[in-house]
Amino acid sequence: MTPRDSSACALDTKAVRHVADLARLRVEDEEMDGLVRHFGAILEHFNVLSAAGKDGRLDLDAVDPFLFSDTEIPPAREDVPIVSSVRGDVLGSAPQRKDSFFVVPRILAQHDGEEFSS
Amino acid sequence: MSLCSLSAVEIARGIRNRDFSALEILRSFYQRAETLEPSLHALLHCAPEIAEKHAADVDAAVARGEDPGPLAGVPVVLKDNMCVRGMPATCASRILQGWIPPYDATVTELLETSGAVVAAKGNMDEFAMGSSTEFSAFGPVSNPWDTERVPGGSSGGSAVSVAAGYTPLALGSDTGGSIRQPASFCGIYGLKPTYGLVSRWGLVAFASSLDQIGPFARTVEDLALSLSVIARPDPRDATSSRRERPDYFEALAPWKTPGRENAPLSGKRIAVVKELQNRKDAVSAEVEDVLQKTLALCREEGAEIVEISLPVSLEFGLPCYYILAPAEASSNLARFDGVRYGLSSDEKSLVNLYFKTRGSGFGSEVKRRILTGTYVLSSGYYDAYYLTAQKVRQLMKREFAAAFAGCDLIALPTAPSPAFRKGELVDDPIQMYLADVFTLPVNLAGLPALSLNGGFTSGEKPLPVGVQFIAPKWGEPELLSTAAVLEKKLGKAKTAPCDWAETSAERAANAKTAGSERGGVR
Repeated sequence: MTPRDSSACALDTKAVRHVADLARLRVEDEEMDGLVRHFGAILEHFNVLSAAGKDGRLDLDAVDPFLFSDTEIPPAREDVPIVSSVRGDVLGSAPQRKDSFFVVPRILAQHDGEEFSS
Repeated sequence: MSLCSLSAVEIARGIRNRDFSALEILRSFYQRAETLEPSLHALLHCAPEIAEKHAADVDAAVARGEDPGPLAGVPVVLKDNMCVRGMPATCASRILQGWIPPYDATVTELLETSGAVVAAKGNMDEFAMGSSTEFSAFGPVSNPWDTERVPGGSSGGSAVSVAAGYTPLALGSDTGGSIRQPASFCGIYGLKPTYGLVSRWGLVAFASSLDQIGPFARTVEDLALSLSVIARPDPRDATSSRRERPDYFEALAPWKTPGRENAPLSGKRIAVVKELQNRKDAVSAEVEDVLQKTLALCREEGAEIVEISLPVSLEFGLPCYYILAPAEASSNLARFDGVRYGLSSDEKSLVNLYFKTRGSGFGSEVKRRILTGTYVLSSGYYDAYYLTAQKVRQLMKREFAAAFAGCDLIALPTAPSPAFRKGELVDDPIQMYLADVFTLPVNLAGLPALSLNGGFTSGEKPLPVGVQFIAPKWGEPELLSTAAVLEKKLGKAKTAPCDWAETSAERAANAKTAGSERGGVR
């Protein structure tokens, strides 16, 4: 499927679920219809750019993408150590901590959709 | 003179002269907020203990004969995506509920060292994603000119704080129009500075190549004053420009320049946009009327009105922005994972912790944008969407550069319509996005722009209508100068009368009796 196909304007539930998985975002079943409709509308809107590039309204072949600010060389800080005094506060904001570490649940596990229904 | 109608300059002067104290001013802030908040809901957090200590410090400095700074004792509202040590910063999201930043944003430091008192945090669209401040997880904000209508967004709480007379000064952030559009809807001044002028250190990032912090005020002098305080180079923000900042006050009285007494805008070329002239359906008749009257005033003051063309920006800016901003947001918001701060779901595996925390912590609009951004950056679609949009962005930058070869400023409506009704667009994201059609090209090109109140609609409840002036990079003095000339003719921005307050106060009292749990001043 290429984004310029008309089919790209109609992301189905499975495709939206895949994008949500990439984004590490749980989407409830009742949210799904709205998201599918949203993607239908927004992608149609987005495809205007590619279409304008194809039909010559925008000359996109002759232009570099804007990926970096073009006005100034990013300033470099002096290479001096800065002592931060907020370590305790930062750790104190953590939902779970142990000594000077953030605590997380086990990491070697697959995302299991079934678990979300509980 | 009522304290709520004083400007920041007048408050700072009054405190230095001991006409009133910083504590008195702060208490009048809280008093007005207490009365109006049940209807407006502009504030998410008030911090009277911290603020009173700062106000007392200002009063003590005055008593010792010291100068507390140019913003001595001026209460300020910061949008809730800026960090103030010891005060919550939720970005109006459940996912950050309960998080207390352990550091100050650079703008917070600069304001406080200039004598300002951060009195409260302003309500906003969640993570600054929205154009109406209806997408706050803690409830929507109302427009003080008509509480059935939205105040604009995403910095709606900051704008309303100024328009309703809580404070003369507030800061917002503008990624696609989030300062200028609420300024227009609320009838006040809003300035989006050049990208790189104001440090974003301590601003929770939405779209890093577009975000910029700027002020709301009721006078041009207050805009200049606040900009002179916050527009400083900052090594902690890699995008902060090191260039020297001009004296923004020098721009404020062009009529004092010899030869310009009667035509202070003489020699200035203000451009209208050809594509808008040909599309009268693009804006409401009331907005068009106010724009034309403002242009006529500019002409009377000596400006030459010229025509320029922005075909790419006006036709393709909207899809370009709504590809790039969500793409950046999807990356920036990956940090909210339930591990280090804020909401955290109780899960047995890390991956489930991520999914469930983010799924329950983010609201609907934020989810839409994260998913959109993830999609346009995903394998197979990056070139067609993200890279194409970045090419269009380059064309827009060139288009603005070419336009400024033939003019000094560009005039556009700030928004296509006056404030719309609550709920009117909330279920139609594309229509809501159209509210930013005239503001977001400015962010994509990294330019400064100012929205001023050009007039009001007619009818039983007149609504303010904003006019936007856009300048080349670092053109803030030009914007302030033009706004100062127009302010002399149009008058300072009005504090909304809020004559519905008595009724709403009674209603709030009844609701309180009934045990309402809705958030308000806390």
